[in-house]
Amino acid sequence: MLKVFIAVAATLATTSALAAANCAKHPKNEWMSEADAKAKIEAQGYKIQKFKIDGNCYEIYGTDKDGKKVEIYFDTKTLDVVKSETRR
Amino acid sequence: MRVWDPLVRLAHWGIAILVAANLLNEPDANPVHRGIGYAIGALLAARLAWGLVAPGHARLSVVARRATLALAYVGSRAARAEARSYPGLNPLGAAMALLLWALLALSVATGWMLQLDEWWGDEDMELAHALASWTLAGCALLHVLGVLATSALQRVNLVKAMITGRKPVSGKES
Repeated sequence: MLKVFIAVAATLATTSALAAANCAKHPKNEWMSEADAKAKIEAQGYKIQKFKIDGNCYEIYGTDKDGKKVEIYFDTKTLDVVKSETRR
Repeated sequence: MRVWDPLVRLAHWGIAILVAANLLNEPDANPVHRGIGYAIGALLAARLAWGLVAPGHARLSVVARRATLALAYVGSRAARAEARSYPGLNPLGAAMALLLWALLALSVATGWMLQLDEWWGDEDMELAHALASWTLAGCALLHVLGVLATSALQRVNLVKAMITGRKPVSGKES
């Protein structure tokens, strides 16, 4: 039973753990400044509710130009979108 | 004798597996984590609703009354000698069940709130959700240890009882 239990839980977890934001690591001096990053993200039509540093990523919570909630992970140097989710 | 009905067992193992999965699961930008959270909430709601009307020791009022005896139970001979006279939860198990349900409700509620506009990306709510969820994990571990210890002390396989619904019981009914 314990084995079945662990197997099911692990399967459920790994199916989505693989989708974790995996941003490339850059030395701090190569990071785009937070101010520049915010400005560029907002220029793309996003409203930023929260701006965070999450591991090797810049991360925002906010809304897109249609007012939908978004959570987006960016590369800290190139500002490429690494992972994102749009709600509703 | 039959001690755990199918709904209790389904809710118990369903919640156990889904909670374990979500603790290991990437929480951010992950619809799967959210979906699993809602499923946990649904199972918890079903179990608690059933607890309002269920007969016998699945009933919440029975669990709550039993839990009030928890402190007296600890260290008493009851933990060893009289244990088989509890067809359902022993007092310590009842207290733990209430605690786990409360933490589940807290974890589900804070997780749900995190995706509302008001708390979208809110650090304080994220912390509350993480604290509730990892405290739940810690208590679930204690719960497992308690079950194993009780099973060993009283020579009764409580894990099997929760799977099959049946437990060898001597003595009085709850």
